[in-house]
Amino acid sequence: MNREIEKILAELLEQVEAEGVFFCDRGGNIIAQRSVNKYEHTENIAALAAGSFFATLEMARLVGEPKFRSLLHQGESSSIYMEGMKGDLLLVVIFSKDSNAGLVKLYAKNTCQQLQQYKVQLAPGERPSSQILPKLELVIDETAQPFTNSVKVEPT
Amino acid sequence: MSFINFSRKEISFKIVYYGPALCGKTTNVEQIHKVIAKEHRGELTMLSTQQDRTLYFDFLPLRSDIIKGFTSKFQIYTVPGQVIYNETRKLVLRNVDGMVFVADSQWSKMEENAESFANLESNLGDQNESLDNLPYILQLNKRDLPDVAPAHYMDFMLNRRSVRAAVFEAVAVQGIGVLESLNLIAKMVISSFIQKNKMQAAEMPNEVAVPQKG
Repeated sequence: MNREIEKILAELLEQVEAEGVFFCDRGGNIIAQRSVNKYEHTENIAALAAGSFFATLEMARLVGEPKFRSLLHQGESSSIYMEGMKGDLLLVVIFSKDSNAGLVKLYAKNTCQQLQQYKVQLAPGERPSSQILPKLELVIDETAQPFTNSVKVEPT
Repeated sequence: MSFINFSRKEISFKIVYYGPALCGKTTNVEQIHKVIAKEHRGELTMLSTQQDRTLYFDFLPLRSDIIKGFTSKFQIYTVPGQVIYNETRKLVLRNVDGMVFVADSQWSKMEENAESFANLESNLGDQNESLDNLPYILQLNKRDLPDVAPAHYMDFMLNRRSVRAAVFEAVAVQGIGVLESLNLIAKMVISSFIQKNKMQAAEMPNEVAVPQKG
């Protein structure tokens, strides 16, 4: 499934000559991505994009709108376009001034329709973590710590 | 919201640091960023005002190999503590998997601690969630200051639910208690996830996750 999604994102990347395309969820978790440039901080980009997009949903509610479907941040050389989908999913497109916001909106809409088909079926009202899972044998080392101190922190 | 990406072999969890204004939430995350090796963390993002007060959230992505065969990714968020930012707190709290409630140990802050804890319970309730169902721990911060309440008093004040939370004493600005708090909440979140996964598998042993097309 992921390869098919990445193919759709790659198509969008080419169509609008974007620099990067991310498909993520409301929590900023990246489901799939394609980019021309290697972005170092993709997790931060996704988290911020999700945060800002879903904040605008709240603004929409406060002004009596059901939602704002998309959001565009225009910069001098790079811009970011975000479009929301059902199931609290988000498409984020990063494009340069070589591309065009109108073109991005047009093709992004089509991409969203294609991506919508890949939503995992959930029971109404359930959190995504309760999706039907394969029988995973998850093993955790009870004696290990997830994180260790790599630096000696001197008391100030 | 725990999220599994099977193709990337990643499981993502969201942990939120909650507490009253200026209690040390951001300091916790700054210390975590300072002490964890680069290969296990990403960039620290801080959305703050000119006075260094958290405006929207702080965000730090972390990675661990604690679950065999999977990369565990932790999204660490802090909320703004000021009372006026309650709507923002609600947004950040959505789909949380675990929390660290950071309390300011100074006597003068007890009322704010209690209000913030009640606010957390209320905001979770608005999302049909509860501290009964979500892993959380209490961190009693600023233990180095002169006029602090005894730990047992704060434990009594903030830890009166039917299931008591683990309590850590901390001096976040010096890194004391910071990693310990993080490690425990991370393990609690993972354990909770593994437990839910086992329960689901037991209920539907022959089901396989097949993303539905159409």
